[in-house]
Order: sequence, then structure tokens, then C-alpha cells
Amino acid sequence: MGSRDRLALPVLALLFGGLFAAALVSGAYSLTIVTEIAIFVVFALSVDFLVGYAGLVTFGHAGFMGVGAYAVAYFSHFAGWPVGWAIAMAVALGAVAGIAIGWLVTRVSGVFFIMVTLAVSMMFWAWASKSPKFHRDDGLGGMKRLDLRQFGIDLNDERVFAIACILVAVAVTGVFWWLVRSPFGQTLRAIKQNENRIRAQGCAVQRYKIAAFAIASAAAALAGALHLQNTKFVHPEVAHWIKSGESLIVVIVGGAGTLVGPVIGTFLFFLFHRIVESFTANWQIWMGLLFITIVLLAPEGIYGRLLALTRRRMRETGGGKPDA
Amino acid sequence: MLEVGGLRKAFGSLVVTDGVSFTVERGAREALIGPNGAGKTTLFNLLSGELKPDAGSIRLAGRDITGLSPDRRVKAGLARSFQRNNLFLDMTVIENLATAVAVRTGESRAFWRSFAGSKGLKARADALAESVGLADRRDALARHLSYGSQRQLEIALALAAEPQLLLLDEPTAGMSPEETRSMQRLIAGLPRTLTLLLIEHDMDVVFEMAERITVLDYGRVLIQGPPATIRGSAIVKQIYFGEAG
Repeated sequence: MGSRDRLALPVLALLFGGLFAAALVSGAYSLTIVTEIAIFVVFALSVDFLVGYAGLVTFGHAGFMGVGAYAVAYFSHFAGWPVGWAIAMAVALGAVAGIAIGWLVTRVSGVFFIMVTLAVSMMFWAWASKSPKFHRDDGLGGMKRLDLRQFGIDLNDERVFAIACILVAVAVTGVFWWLVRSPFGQTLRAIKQNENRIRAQGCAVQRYKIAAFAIASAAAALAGALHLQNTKFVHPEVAHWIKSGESLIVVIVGGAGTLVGPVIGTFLFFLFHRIVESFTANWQIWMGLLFITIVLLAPEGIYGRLLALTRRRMRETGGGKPDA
Repeated sequence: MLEVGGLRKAFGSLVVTDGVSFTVERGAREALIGPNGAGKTTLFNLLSGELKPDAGSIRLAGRDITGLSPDRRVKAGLARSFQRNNLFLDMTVIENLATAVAVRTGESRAFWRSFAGSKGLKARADALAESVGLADRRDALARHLSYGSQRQLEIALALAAEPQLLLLDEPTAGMSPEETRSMQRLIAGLPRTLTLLLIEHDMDVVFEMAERITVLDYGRVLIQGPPATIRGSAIVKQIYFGEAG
């Protein structure tokens, strides 16, 4: 019972191991990419949890990243809280905002769901862009990182910070791994596959959607908090719809509904971006072409295609149980 | 078990359920028949809560469920199967059933346990698969099942909700004579604690299974009675079988 995906753990170990190795040996520039990848993995996984598992295609999830970043900025910079508490508060606020907005947006579905999530996130963006306290769309710098020097960890060392972000990404992957394998995760899959039927089984579908939304929003707020810690700078861009769009691209290209897919997608997105950027300023064109090609060749995403291929191979060699 | 009073539903000017009243006794085997467009499936949708009635009341085991959402009605003890197969096509038979069992028991809320590792869910799903004759297909994807097996899974999902009243919407629709017989055996073997209300087009099935038959026409209850009465009724012959009295 439950499709056993024997490929996931080795591939994840390889990806995170590679990232870890890169963090150890990279120069200053490459290190920034490593950190960005680790942070975006957290965000992409939260989007995949909604899109790939619960079937809630959100186009405004960056709004919750914004909630996380601005909450940390407010509580650590203005309210004078220790950064650790500010981060915890940011995640909690992400969850609360997720419940409130989830309650609102799960009343609609399909294209309307996409538009409402987009609208809500852009409301946050608009507020952030006009907030005098946070210096409008100039952004506000001078944020402090979490101080762990009493444990002998200096997060102001970029290498140490990169490794910390990787560890958070691994932990978040672990949490989602756990969630999607639980009866709760299975029920979300059932809602995605056939909402009408699971309701006819007595499932209060909307509550499950709101719960999924809250979990994914808390994770996105954590990504936002990490982003703020990384840049030490709070800027409305973090909540912009372009970020939401990028997360969707990463999830779909990597393989929605798998936890490995978004990680692969994030690696591809950032590495390709940085490599092409060094040749041409029009990197988006090449990125676009690459993603169109991938989606045409592998509609189920890179990892989805990989899974389909290995399953077919197992059937052909008699290694796996036939489906029918 | 079920008391329906003055139920009415109109889509625009088309009245599809027109003041329907009837009761179903606990443990009864009752069939709902009528020509195409008589409003049978609409009545089921009103009972299961997928449609809201314009007027009238529905009581299940003495409790008014008229205002309850579909999922609450299931919790109150009313489950249904669908006329067209309505399954989790990308799950195996056992995953379909274990998911349904988890929703029934509330384990679907558990996010700290493993779904695949739950022996309890698996055991109950296995028992359900066994009870509808799908034990040897337990690891097949629902989409790879034959049509008849999908119909069986449809019934098993409804049974997984552990209802007191089960609405079966044309359980033998589209089945071969062989499959129909096995479905008949399956339904006949359901425990007497379960009250059955079925819509069925196959008259052989209806006259064999049902202890009482309600005939609907143009959204109204035309006549109600035991199979012998219905079989002999001139008015039923006229509107349903298209014979002159």
C-alpha cells in the first residue's frame, strides 16, 4: 500500500550532499548560489505540497514568504526581539495567515483559486511597497542574523550560514516527507484525485485544504525568514508574483507531487540562471526555451519522467509487480 | 430509517422532484424505479446532500438532515454509490479502500503516522475488498480494473463509510449478465442491519431484490408497494413498460 519510491532517498541524498559539498569548497560567489538554492528549496517544497499533493494551484504563495520576511524584520528590528523568537513568530504568523487566507480562498477552485491567491499576495506586496516603516519599495537594510555564537556557531560567516540553510532545507524536506506519507497526506491526494468522491466518503474537504494551506504557508514564511537572514535586507520583491511564478515553474519542471521534483527544479533554475547570465543579459529567454522543452518532453516533470522510466524498466525486467 | 416529506426541487421552470414523500423502514430493501428523466438520480442527490431541496424535509433515523452538508450526512449514517464509477483511479484497490476507511475512522487527520504502515487500515481495507470479491485485485490500480470490478469497488467504497442507509445508484448499470448476477449476489449478501435503497433499471434485479418498490414519474411518486402489486399495476405498465393497460 502506497507507492514505494525507492529512487527518492538516493536522489535527495545526492542533491543535498552535492549542495553540502559545494558549501564546503565554494568561493564567495558560488556560496551565495548555494544559500539561495537551499532557501528556495524550502519555498518550492511548500508550493509543491499545495500544488502537487493537495491539488491547490496557488499563484500567490510568495505572499507568505513576504509575511515571514516582514515579520522577522518587524519583530527583530523594530520590536527588539531576539532574532530566534522573531523567526519563530514569523513561522507562527505564516500559519495563522495561512488559516485565515486558506479559509477564504478554498471557497473557490480552479482558475478562480489561482486568481484569488494572486490577488491576496499582491495586496501584501502593495502594502509592503507603500509602507513608510519599511522604507516602501526602497527596502530596509541593516537586519541582524540569528546569534548562535554562544554555541560556537557564527552565522555571519557566509559558509556557516549556507550550511545552516542547507540543514533547514533538509529538515523541511523531512517534515514534508513525513506528512505526505501520513493518512493526512493520503487524504490530500484523494482530494486532488477526486474531491467529489472523498466528500461522499464523509470527508470535510475544506478543512483539509485549509490545514494544507496553513502548513504550506508556515513553511513559506520560514523561507521568507531565511531569505531575510540571508540578505539582511527586507524588500517587497520577496512577495512579488514573479516569485510565486518561479516557484510554480520550479515545481512543475522538476515534477509536481514528488518531493524530489521541486529540489531538482530549484537546482536547475538557479544554476541555469547563473550560468546563462554570465553569457547574456537575456537569460530569461533561454530559461523559457529550456522549460518549454522540458515540459513538452516530460509533462510530468523531470523527476516524474524519471520515475515513469524506472517503473517501466522494472516491469520489463520483471523486477516489479505488474500494475494490472 | 428514512422519512422524506414533501421534497421539491426545480431547475428553473423544470420541476424534477415534485412533492416526494416516502419512508423506508430500518433493514428494508427498497427500490426506486421510473422511466428515464423521472427524477430518480436527482432524488438521490437531494438525499445525499449534493443538491439542496427547494422545500421539504429529510429525516434519517429520526434526525433532520435536510440542512446538513454531504460529508455530515455520511457521518450521520447515509452513504451512496454512484451511477457512473467515481473512484480514485490512480490508486490501487487497497489504497482506495484504506483511504475511505481512514476518513470513516478519523485517522485521515493523523499526520504523524504512516499511511502505508497502518496495519489497522490495511486489515479493514482487505476485509472490504474480500467482501465485494476484489481480494485478488487488491494491488491493481483502479483504472486498470475491468468495468465490472470498478462497479464492485464503487460499492466497497460506499460500504467503507459504514452507513446505516446505503443508496445504490444503478449498481448493475452497464454490466454483462454474468457481472450482474455477481453484483446481485453481493447486494443480497449485505447484512440486514444495513438499509438499502436502490435505483435500478434491470427489472429482473428489482423484482428479485426489492421488498417494496416506489415508482417515480415526472418527479412524483406514482405508486408504492410490494413487487407483486407493482408488477400487476396497470398504471405502471402503461407509463413504465409502455404497454396499454
